[in-house]
Amino acid sequence: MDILLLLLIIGVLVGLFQAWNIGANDVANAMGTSVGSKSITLKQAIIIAGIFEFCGAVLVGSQVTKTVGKGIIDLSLFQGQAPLLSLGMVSALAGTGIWILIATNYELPVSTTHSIVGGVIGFGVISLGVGGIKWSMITQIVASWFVSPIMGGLVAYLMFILITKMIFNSSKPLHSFKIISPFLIFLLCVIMSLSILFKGLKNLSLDLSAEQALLWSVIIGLIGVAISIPLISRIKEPKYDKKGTAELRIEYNSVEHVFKYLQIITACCMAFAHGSNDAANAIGPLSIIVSIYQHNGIVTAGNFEVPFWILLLGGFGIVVGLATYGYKIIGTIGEKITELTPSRGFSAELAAATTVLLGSKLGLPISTTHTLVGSVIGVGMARGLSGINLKVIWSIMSSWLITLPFTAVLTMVIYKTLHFFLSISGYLV
Amino acid sequence: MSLIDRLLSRSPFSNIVEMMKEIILVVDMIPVLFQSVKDSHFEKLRDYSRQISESEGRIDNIKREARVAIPKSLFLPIPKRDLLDLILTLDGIPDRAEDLAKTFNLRNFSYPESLHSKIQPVLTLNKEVNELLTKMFIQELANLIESSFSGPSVQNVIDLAEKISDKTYEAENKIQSAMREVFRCENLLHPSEVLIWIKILEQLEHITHSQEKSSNTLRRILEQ
Repeated sequence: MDILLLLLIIGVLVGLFQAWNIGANDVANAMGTSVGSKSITLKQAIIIAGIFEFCGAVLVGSQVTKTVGKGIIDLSLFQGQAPLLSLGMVSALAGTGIWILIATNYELPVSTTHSIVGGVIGFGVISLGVGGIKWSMITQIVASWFVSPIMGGLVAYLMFILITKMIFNSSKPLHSFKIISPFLIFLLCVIMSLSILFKGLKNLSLDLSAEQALLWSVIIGLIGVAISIPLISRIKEPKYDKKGTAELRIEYNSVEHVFKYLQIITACCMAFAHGSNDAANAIGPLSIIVSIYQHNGIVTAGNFEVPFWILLLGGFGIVVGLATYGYKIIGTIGEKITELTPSRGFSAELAAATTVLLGSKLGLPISTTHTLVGSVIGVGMARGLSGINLKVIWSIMSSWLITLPFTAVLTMVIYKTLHFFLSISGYLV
Repeated sequence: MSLIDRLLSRSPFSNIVEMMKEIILVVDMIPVLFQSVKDSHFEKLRDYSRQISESEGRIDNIKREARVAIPKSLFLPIPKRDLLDLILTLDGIPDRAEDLAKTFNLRNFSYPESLHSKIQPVLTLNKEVNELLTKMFIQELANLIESSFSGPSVQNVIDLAEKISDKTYEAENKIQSAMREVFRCENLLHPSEVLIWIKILEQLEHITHSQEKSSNTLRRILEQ
């Protein structure tokens, strides 16, 4: 069997395994706030995640895939040595997958995104030396890991402050909610639409410019508002002369009840954003392997397109991972008594989804989980939650320090091992 | 367990609600102590006193759990010190109630009718304050958490605190009046009974103070 075909087969299997890992371990975090606030049930979370993760991966996943695939190492240096590049990508996927499994076992808060970047760096260093790494890109990527949780936190903070001041602090919370909600729905629809329409539909031969995408997003946003207004106006407001304790409670409960529906939309956003960003962790390296095979061993460092079937593969793997294992983790969320109400969940998810989708558009592989953690902390900073465990932040930061070197070293070990066995079996000279 | 799950801690305010529910039961038993003396049911009196002590023990456990549940790494919507202060002041109510129950058991004693007519309004006020505290710490606290400790709930708590202040002031005046009645009745009472009644009324006053202090602590936190 041709070495490139062998590596393609192994790459597809390992890529699928990695996608499964993402579905099994990561999706629970993406859907965590929706299930935890009881806006959606476990079954609904799985269905939403299944549909929207897949769509995110297929429609928008190519941008980050390109970065993970060719943005970290200089592929042109592998001309004439394509099998080594394929082998390296297989090793990166394998190293990442093993690390994620270990981390899951020990409940370490690692990121699949950071892991694959570490894996690719590891291969780059061992094969090309330090000079073969695009350090400017690495700097950008690492900077985005700090920026994304902060940005998610800031947006969530502002969103929740807005909701608190304009709805919960109002003398008529439910009435205020009915006035504000069209704006929130408009924002949601525009963000979702923009992320799909702008640079997102090349695979369907629909490449809209920024202005066209914005125009269509606004139209879709207005349609969303038009549909929601009659539904929201049907909510009956209680008539109280003075808002005493019990009356306030009833109004707050009504507001939270309606926020559940908004949170269903943000859950879809979150799943979509997660699919768009995290599918690349599985299919980024795989797209290199496929490209090498398709071009008969020629490394196309320049014009790089991600085949549609790879995006489908990534999306499929994530859904299978979610359906076979991820649902167990989602199921444990929300068992604790917390004040994660739909309004809090909505603020955190909208902020996280916006940040992740922006990162995806810029081709930056950021961690969905860590961005969502930043968003939840942002809501906590706005006094929206009764207790945030700050120890988690330290464990995330220490996982940043461990993950990159660990996956890099593991990838190097796997690469060397596979190289040895392929050499002695005659596949590699 | 997912990362989001680990990020969100169990609400420490749930401990306050738990404490308040037990405190309500303890304070509701105070009139029963007086009634037992009036009916000369001293065995029952000892039984009720024991129940109050047991409740006080449970509240102490909740208080300890609350302290443990608020580690340094926990970020809260109100300052940690204020939350611990609040728990401490609430704890003062069952502590005083237990002291009162112990005083009732020092010896059997009589309860003149004239004294009963002075003390009964105090117990009624005490019950009303208890109801206002319940509203404050169980119902209104939930609203405060929902509105991030801002908005109309703050005014509701301040209004409740004002009402509690008024009622506790009235109760203190009535306790003073009851103390004067004890001395007016001294011919009907054994000297040790006079001592016991004064001690009982002082402790009732301490309970009233603790109730007012608890409501004022929450008010102070909100007005910061």
